[in-house]
Amino acid sequence: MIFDFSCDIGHIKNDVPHQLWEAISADGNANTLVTRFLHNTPSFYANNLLRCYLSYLSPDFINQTFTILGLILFGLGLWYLIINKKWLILIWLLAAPLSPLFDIPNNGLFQTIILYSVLVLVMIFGVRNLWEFFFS
Amino acid sequence: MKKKEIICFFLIIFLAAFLRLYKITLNPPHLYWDEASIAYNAYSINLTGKDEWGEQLPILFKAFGEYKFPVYIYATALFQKLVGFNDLAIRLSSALAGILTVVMIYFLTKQFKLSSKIALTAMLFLAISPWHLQFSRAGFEANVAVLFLTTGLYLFLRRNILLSLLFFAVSVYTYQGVLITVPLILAVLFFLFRQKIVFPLFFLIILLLPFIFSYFFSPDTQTRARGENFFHMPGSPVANFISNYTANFSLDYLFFHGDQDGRHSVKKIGELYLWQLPLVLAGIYILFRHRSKHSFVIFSVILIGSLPPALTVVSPHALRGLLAVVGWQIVSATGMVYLSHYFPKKLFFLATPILIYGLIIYLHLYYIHSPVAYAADWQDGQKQTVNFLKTIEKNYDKIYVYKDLQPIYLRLYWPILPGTLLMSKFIYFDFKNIPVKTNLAEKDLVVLPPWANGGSWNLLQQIKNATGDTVFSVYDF
Repeated sequence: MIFDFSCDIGHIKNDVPHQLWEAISADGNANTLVTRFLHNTPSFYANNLLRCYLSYLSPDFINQTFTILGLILFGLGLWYLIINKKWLILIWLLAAPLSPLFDIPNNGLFQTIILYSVLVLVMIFGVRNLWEFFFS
Repeated sequence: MKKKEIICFFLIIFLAAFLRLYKITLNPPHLYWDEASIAYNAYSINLTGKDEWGEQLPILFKAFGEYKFPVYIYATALFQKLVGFNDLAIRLSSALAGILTVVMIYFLTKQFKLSSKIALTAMLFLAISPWHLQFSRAGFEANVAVLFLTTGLYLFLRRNILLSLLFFAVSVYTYQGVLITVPLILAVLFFLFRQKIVFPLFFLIILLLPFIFSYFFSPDTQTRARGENFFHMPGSPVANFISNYTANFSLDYLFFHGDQDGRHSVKKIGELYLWQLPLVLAGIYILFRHRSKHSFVIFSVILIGSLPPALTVVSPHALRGLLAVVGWQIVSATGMVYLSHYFPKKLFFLATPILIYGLIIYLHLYYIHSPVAYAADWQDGQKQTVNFLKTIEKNYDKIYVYKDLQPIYLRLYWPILPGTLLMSKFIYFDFKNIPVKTNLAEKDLVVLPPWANGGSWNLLQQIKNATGDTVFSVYDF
């Protein structure tokens, strides 16, 4: 288990000024209105926050932590949850990767447990999906 | 088709053509070495009927030793006859293939029993797709292979089995990655649609016989495949294969950063637009909910199309997995039309500014940031050096060239007749044998790399690339 997530709010806050500087200096002598419209701080922050949020739900992260079996079960479980409308678990799934994005002190263990628990729970529903498919 | 649909159809084709052909020779800024090799071999075919190594009308072109596939080179030879021996001819085949793929995706989507609205949306998404645009604007064989694969798939679904197999066979002659894709796609199609397999398979093998004899019965032609496969990665091959494969579905690769090679993407946005994420999710949901043989084929286009990068050392790889872009656009178009039923019409007008904003960001990155930032990846500066040498070479007796000026550019832009050696005027050197003047009466030129100090030699010109970095400095002494 990893307790120190690579993509969290501290890293984003460090990184966005560099990305902005890189983008603005690459623009050179272009029209400042265009530069401000395309390379502005809010959109860079939004992009990075969304990227970090999705990186914890992305197939390669799940493959890395739970291997391909976990990925297949996750897919099946997600399908089962959507079909059977289990909204509470889906809300938990969508809310779990939000915790690295907030500046909570001593949050490594907390984040890990919440995120990994919901991923494993979805996989268990995947097993249930398979069970119901084969045995009833 | 209704009149409005016909107008949209042609407007989207026009948009696709404009995006692919606008300043195609200026951006990407330079031919990279694969393109230069293709252009030179095509020039050689036009002049003599032999490739640069002297083989008469070959099936596999030796080039740098990695054995290029023939279709793109013969197509370039044809275009060189039509538009002349210039940079446009090499890139035109890929651009035209890109435009034709946009046309074919419409017919393919209709053949999947999806509505015209979905087909037109898929066409629009492919026309503006960063993934597809990046490879339609330079000489990439995989782009032409995707056209043939899409056409073959369309014809198969119309039950023109033999004609579709012809197109699949041509795609095998176009690009190496297709060797994995075609058998798997054909297996899926024959299994799903219960076609008679014996005679078509026989027909396909007859079409591929020249290729099989050239590729499998000679030791050198498989150097590229042998050298780059995933068995070279450390660790367990199975785990490597699986992580390579899932990397092609990573949300960061698809929506945020893309392929990190300077020629394959602009590196700051993903292969698909970010606003396509909810559409893709909705499309996957709806195609799974209403499962059919056709939705299975759409998913297999994505899954099998993402397989070639998984078998190589570099994964995710936008070029080898190019077939998947067709599948992703169909899925996101399905999602878009499905979601549009749940939103009131007025809210739907919000979609257009978001689409245009995404397109503007991509075009800004592609036309302003990317040629400046990634000029070195396209070997920018080599053509300018050769052209400069051409203007002043009459006044000098010997030209000492540092090894970084690749001979293919010298041969291509001088141009040097295929089959002949470089003129004795050119002497290649590296830092082990720095040129010294033997005959004091001569005037010689030296082409030095930027980190070398010319010393007492007289600097004539510094050749810079689009980034502003000096690529070569030309001295005389």
